[in-house]
Amino acid sequence: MPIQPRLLLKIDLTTQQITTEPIDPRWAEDFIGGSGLAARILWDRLTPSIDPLGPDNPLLFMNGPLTGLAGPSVGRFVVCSRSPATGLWAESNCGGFWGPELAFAGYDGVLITGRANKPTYIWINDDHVEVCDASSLWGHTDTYETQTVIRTERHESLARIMCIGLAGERLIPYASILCDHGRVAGRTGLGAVMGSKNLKAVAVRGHHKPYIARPDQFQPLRAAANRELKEDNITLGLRASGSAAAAELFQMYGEMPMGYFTRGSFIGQENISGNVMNDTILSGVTTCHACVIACGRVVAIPEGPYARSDSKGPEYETMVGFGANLLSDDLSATAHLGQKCDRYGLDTISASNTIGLAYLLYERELIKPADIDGLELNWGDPRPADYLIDMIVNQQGLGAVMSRGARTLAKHFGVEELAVQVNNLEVAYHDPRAMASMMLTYATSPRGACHNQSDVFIAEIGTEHPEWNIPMLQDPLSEAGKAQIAAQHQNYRTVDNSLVLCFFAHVPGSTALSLLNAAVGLDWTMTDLQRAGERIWNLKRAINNRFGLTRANDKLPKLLLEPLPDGPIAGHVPNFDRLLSDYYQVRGWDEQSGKPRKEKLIELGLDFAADVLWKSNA
Amino acid sequence: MPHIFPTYEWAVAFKEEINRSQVYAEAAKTWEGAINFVIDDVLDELGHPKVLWIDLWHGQCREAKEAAAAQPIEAPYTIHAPLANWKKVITKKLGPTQAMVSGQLRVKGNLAHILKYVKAAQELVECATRIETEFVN
Repeated sequence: MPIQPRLLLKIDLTTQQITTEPIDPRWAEDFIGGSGLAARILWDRLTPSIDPLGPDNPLLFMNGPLTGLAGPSVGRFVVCSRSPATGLWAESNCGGFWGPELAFAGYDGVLITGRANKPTYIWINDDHVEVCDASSLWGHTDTYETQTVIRTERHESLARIMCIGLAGERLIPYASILCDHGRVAGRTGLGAVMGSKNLKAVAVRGHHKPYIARPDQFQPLRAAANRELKEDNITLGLRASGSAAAAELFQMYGEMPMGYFTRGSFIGQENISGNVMNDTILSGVTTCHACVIACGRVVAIPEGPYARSDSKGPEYETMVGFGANLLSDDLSATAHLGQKCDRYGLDTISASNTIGLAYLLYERELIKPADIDGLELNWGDPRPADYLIDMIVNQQGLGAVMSRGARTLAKHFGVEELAVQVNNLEVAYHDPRAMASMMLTYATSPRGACHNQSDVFIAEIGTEHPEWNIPMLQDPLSEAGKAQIAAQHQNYRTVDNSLVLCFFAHVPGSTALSLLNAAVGLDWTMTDLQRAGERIWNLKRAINNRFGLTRANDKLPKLLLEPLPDGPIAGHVPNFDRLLSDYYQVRGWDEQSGKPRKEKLIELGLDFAADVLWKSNA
Repeated sequence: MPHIFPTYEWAVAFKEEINRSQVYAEAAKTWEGAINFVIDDVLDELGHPKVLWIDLWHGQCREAKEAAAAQPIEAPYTIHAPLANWKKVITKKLGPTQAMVSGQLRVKGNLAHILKYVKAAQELVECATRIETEFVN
């Protein structure tokens, strides 16, 4: 039975032309949806000469085949393009309610090209689509205010809006996109791509019921999946203490970076914890569409410099980035700094990583107080970070350099090797020295040093995925067999990023498979699903190879190849070279060029990519 | 003389080992709350799963009892699993956090709070391994 055609809304902001186009059903099947289908749709458009901030760079908002249905945890959408930060494949997915609302409006994706001649926002109300003037918002409203103004202007209190802040408008290459109650597509600078198109926001309201191919099968499956998920141990932890629920565990493994990846412990580290947040500033929780987990945190800070009533609390990455990364145990400060970044539309991982580097450079007397308006960047004191964020967004003084990211900052002081980044994407807060397979995750991720292409650190501490051939692992420090595990885990999470299924939803592979089959009318097996994961991973790799990526890009920064002086992993660094060689074998990639071998691409049904990548050798 | 898991005698031996452990006393000095350890597939004479109730408070074990799922003793935390999984943990073939993260030990209660005391959980396993244990058939 043919699967339901999916519909792409296409908007050229230069010509203001608005059209719809059915997505090739073969693509929708082979590449599932979300970032997988986006990669296939964008393959022809992402040519090597595309300027990430130029009008020709396509910006694609894409749902998965489960987005907008009734769970489990399928409220996410993904944004894809060429990244202004890395020059490579850009993807960042986001929770909340925007993706489901787009599905209710009848679309699977929105492809935006061109550049508007003045600030605009797009208003989608089912089949009514309009490009609207956003001049009054541009330069004025933050990411929360923008949502309020547009809802008021459209007289639609239920409209869902994703938008950029000042950081995106000013083309900062780690600008984010935010929707709803602080759900963020944070990484790879997609907010700047929106800014480059003079696009402040995309607002959507829909009234249709999403299509389900086999509703009689789907409904009981999703009900059972939600029930099972609700009882899952990981769900219990996330619901109780948010994404920082395992902070103590990560500390025990030495997996939580401290002092910009240079320390293994610090006084007060036990306060960097979801549990401590529960006991101190937590005032509520939030959830995304169709989610039984509710990992979102709300905090209230009754007094002190960061006093505020209910507002978004920090998730794990922000808590560590503005906490342990600065050797600070001040949770209120992490909440404040995270919220400030969100309002500006600035990725908290890249921002805090760049600021952490500034602290390190200050410690090493490369940055002087005079460089930063007299600030003293002493470890443990998060207050200067508040000012540094303003300097970054206003591109003022050294802030202009910092606004380009950690590598540019380090280069500015002649110490590029100190920047903890891969391909100019700052490393997330999971130290790969503590989890050998994370070395490969960071080095080979299609979007730079990213934990959301594969959170294999969770597998390293005990989650097993037998249907994905990922057994329970016993030794996070060991390299043995980890290349295979890393590749399998990447394939698994690539499927999740295509579905688009939240990583926090610990859904067994067979459940995800059954949901997919019932939702779109397929009869896939686990082998088909595994194959799709591998196919999509290799397609993203091929896109990057076409952008010029080679094996030389598959590397880790110097700081992550040096042992820590103290803490649980003091003195230990996994053998990265061995891991990478093993990985190339597992992947079937060419050692010289870093490209997937021609026969591998053909085997995966990626003949079109083989034709382009191996043209000269064909 | 070996103690059979899960029995009252084993629970008492466990309590004594816990209270001998300085490591546990330090790691769990702020822990408050009893834990019901439920062995799903070992049934009592009425056909209910066996439960060991271990009352842990500020680094000490105050009391240990055998109960049954039919007459549970109140506890803020319940961890349940089939005997095979308990055996893997007690014989250190499977770490306690791995067992919880992977779902081989199912937790009712605040898992994140338990993970906060991960060193204490590991030491509880060490205490269990110091007991000469035979497992019920």
